[in-house]
Amino acid sequence: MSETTHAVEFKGITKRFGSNVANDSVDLYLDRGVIMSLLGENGSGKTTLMNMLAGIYFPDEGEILIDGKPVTIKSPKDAFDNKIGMIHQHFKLVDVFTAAENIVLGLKEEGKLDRKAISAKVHEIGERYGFEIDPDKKIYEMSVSEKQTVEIIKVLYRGADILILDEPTAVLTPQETSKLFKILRAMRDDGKSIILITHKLNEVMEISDVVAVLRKGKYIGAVKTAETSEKELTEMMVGHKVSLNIERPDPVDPKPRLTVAGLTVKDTEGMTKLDDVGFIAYGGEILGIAGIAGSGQKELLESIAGLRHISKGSIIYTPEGKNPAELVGKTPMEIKDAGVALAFVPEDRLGMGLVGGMGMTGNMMLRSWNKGKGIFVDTKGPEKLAEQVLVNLDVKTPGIDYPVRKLSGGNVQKVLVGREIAQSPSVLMSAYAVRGLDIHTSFTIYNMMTEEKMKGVAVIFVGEDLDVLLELCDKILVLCGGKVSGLVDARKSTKEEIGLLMTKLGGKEAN
Amino acid sequence: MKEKEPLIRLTRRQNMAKSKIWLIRLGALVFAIILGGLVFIIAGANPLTAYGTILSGSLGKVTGVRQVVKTAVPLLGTALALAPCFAMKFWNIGAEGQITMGALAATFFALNMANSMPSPILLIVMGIASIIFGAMWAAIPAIFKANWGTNETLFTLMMNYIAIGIVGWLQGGPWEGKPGSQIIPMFEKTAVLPKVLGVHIGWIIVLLITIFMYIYMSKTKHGYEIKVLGESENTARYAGMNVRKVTIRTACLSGGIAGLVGFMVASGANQTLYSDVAGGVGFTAITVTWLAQLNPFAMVAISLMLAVLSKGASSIQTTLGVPASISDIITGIILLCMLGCEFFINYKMIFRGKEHHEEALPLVTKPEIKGEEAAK
Amino acid sequence: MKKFLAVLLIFAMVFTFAACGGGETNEGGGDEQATDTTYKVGMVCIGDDNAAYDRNFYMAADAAKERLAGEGINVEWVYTYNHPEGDPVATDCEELAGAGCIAVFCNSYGMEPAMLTVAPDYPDTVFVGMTNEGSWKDDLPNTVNAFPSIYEGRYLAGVAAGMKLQDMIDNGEIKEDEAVIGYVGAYTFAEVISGYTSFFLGARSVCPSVTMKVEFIGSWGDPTMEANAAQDLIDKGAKLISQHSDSTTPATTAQSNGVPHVGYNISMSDVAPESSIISSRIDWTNYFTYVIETIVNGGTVDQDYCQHGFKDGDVALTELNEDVAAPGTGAKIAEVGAAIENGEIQVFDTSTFTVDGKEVTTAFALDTDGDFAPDSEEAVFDGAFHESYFQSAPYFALRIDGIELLNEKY
Repeated sequence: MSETTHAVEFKGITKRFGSNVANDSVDLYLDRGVIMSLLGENGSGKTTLMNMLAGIYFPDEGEILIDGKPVTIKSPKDAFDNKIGMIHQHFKLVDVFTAAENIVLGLKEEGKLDRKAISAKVHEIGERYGFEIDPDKKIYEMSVSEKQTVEIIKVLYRGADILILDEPTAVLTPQETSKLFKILRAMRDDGKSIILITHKLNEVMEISDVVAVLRKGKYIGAVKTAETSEKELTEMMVGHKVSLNIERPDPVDPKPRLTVAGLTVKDTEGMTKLDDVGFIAYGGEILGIAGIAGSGQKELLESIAGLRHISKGSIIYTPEGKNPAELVGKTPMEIKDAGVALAFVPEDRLGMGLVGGMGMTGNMMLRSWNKGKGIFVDTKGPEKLAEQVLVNLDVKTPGIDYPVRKLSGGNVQKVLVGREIAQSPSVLMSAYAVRGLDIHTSFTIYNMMTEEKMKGVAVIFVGEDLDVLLELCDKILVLCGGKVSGLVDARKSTKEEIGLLMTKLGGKEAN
Repeated sequence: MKEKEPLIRLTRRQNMAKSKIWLIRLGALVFAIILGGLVFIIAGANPLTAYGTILSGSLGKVTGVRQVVKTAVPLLGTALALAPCFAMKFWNIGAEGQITMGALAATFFALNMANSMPSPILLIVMGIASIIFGAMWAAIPAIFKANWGTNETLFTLMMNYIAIGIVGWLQGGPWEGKPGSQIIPMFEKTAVLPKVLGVHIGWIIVLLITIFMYIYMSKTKHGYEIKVLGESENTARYAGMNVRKVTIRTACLSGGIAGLVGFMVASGANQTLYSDVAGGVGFTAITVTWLAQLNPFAMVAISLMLAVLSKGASSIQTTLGVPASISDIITGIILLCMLGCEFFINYKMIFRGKEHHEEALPLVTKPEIKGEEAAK
Repeated sequence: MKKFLAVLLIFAMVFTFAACGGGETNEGGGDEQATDTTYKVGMVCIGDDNAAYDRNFYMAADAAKERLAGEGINVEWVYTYNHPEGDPVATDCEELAGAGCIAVFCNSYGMEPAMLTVAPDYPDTVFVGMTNEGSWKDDLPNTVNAFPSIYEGRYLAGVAAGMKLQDMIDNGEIKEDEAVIGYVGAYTFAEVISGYTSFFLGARSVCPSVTMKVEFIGSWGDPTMEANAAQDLIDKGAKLISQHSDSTTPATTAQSNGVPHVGYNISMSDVAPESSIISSRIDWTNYFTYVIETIVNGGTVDQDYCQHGFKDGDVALTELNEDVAAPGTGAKIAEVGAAIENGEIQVFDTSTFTVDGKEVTTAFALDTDGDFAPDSEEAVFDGAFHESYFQSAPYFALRIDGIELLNEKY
């Protein structure tokens, strides 16, 4: 192994943060023309390791070899000089610039900015690998996947041979993901080395040639994808055997809890976001909601939560043992107090529902701050609740007053979901609850949903992973272009059936 | 490999001990004092004598202490006024104007009602009027921001000039004393704040405001709303908060306190009104608020420190003949060092080849990693 | 940890020394009382060395110090700078009084209110509100006012201006009715009105056809506005510029327009050698000497320093710029000056001016009821308006014929 020259080789890389060892003497290599998945749970040191390759961190010990030669990478510029490019999870683009401008930003090229030449080169790169990109489109007009494309081209434009992608599919639709994978394969065939940081096992199996696994900062080993299975990889990742089956008990005595009829919602620009949506969510059931990103999932949940202006329709809410009540026209506070909980995980996790600068206590308070008479907030209750969530969901934090912004993504989500569940709601809505989480944590969340369902709660679960939806939910509502395109029984349906509903709508083209 | 390392690496610190943080701040202060000593040497004064004079001139005698307290009162009051706005990330840099408007409202009653009501009632009326006017002056930009999303920074700044202009006009116009003098007459005794221990009672008022602000920000629903809104408007909305109401209410509170400061300055210190009544306090207080990191009790200490420096400045001017502007430079150096040391609290520099085994930290960190570290 | 220890040590050191320093200063205070030879005298200045107005005070302070030294009284001047009004002035006053000054001079009009808030706390210090007038009704024994009779100096400076304009008429440079003086004024305030009126009367005594335009700037000193006003006056036909404002830009503006100029406070011939003829100034040397002498000798300083003018040297003229002045100006000034000294000439001789076409027969000097309209002390008697007779601060505020006010907004 040491005789042949590898595209990249890590030798005994160690990186410490304070007293914690993020990477412990990692030895790892990657050859040309190979797609490698770097697999590991949250905090296993994947991103840290790659950041050292990209020049963002500098290793405490060990060395990095490129094409067999030891190199010093102390800045992203050094990384580029070594033809290494990293596409981060959070895009680093200037919104008001065009794609082409972003691509050349920071490059020191002689002479004037030749837009034509840049566009031509961008086109050429696009042709070669199958990108579709308009160099003159401004970033703020782009979808997430387009932005990602710009990031990739930016790296290629600088001549990178080694590409690192940090969780590239976290924000993509299945269609966009498969498009990305096609591009990645084209690049591999062109001799590039590609490292994917991910923990979506199905994608690992689909795209990569080699899988390298890290666990708690240590390199566990690398296996050829063709010679392994999801189960084996999972065991390598978590260190012990895990069951990958989601338990799905049959609903007990489902009762109509939320009856939505003729719901029509427009956004501020007057675009119709929900068009005549109707369904019934039953207590004691999990209702999955599937659809291409932007089909109205977010709007639907926000409408029920009272955060959107509703043009037409009704939402009848029937709490256990009480009379039905109309939710349309009520304030978010009233709806919440009535027992409808929303755990919405936005793309940046902290944008809504959580206050990053506050500790768990402060975030628990977000639900109860207005309770009670008088001008003072009650801190005792939220403190107790925070302790509960901490213990019950095994949140890893130095203390309940430690700012949640500094917690890892999984723990942030636990805080959010834990708080919503703790309200003992009779309707629990969750959107993208497992986005960016590793398998272990994801399963904790799934089980929490199921627990709630067994308590008689009507759970509405907006998810991205169709496999999970099919395994977790009792029924699946499919949205397409703001309309309901189907309602299926999750136990009897297939991925293909739902996929079809997601893109077709009674002969109408989805937007 | 070692010699190829970067010369200096910046690494983020984690959970530094509180005592060490304070030691760093203390160190920054000492560094600033030494640096300031160099400035004194350049200005031709013995730094030890100069610092000695600053301390003895401000704290070495009763009158000096009184001056210090008198100077600290508006500074502290305004810093407290700004705290809720800044916690909400509403950049109110219009305290100057709010102070001026408050002083104006108080002066109106001092000039017109001085002989028609007993002193305590008159003073209360003046105080309330100043709160209302200060609040009004802050409410205008807040209403515009809440309804039309205007930029409050520019708006509040512009409001300063309007307020100062109005007083300038009153000074030379309707309220002018002797024609052509540009001076508003001195307040009657009934309209002057009484003194307690040799300083106008404003110092007790600001201490009360300090306690009020601490409780308001950390214990009340309003304080919680402000903090959430400061973090994220979406979250606030999601939590059922009325963003417009909170924005306007908080701005009013801020402006109201600033207005009250204006009343204390006009009635307690100046005993008259003139256009420069705020005298830059509205801007200096921004530094106080930041340095204190919105902690009301820290504001007390910092405004006292600035007051000592300012009083000491006149002392070194009169006793050593060093221009007072030198003291402004020293104050600037101290503030810069105090703000700058926060960098060293958050980051650590590692020099080439050193300390590989002690806290080696990343140049850029991501929340995930930090959290995970912290969790262990 | 070593680092922190070192830092702590330094910190401790600084404070130890600071404490020592404090001790020294106190000792200094003790010495002063024991030896009784050097008296501290304070001055609160509106500006600093850069302002013509303040420089005039420093010159007088130094001269007074020298004169007093000759009498065996050692004086140390202590200054504070750049505070025009309000609490900063009060702080300065306290600082100076607290430092043991026997007298504190506030050199600008606007300082008096702040000064009066401090004066009761320091009964052993004499507070002087220069050019103001509040002390006679404040019930405080230790506050006084002073304002030498500057109108006499203005009159003489006006004579120099009039000579120049008459000379220009005689040479055919301008026509008789073109003899217009442009006057940059600060505020529409008795002090300024009295100043430009006496200046105008002086000019008209030697150039009968002269008229005047006054433009107010609303500030005692604003170089830009002063220059703009001077330019505006020249554009409106002024053939000579004078001023009642603190900077030298009217002189430089006059020079760049080729127009002669008469200044105030200090000689402006060095900044405008081709234009500035002469300046009138108050010479505070006498007053400083008087106040300090009186306090040291245990006497009581007059509440108001009245009727001290050209005769006593409290008002003076700067050196005549012969290159610009009309021939014979020096002699004429000497002649008129002598006439003022012996009382032959009254500046505000009521036979020399009219208000609304009529001779003035009555006008009050002082305001006693606080409404700022004079209501007592008849100022017109013996054929003249007696300016600075009942109190030092000017009270002549009549709008006489021949002077046009271009704006009155200030």
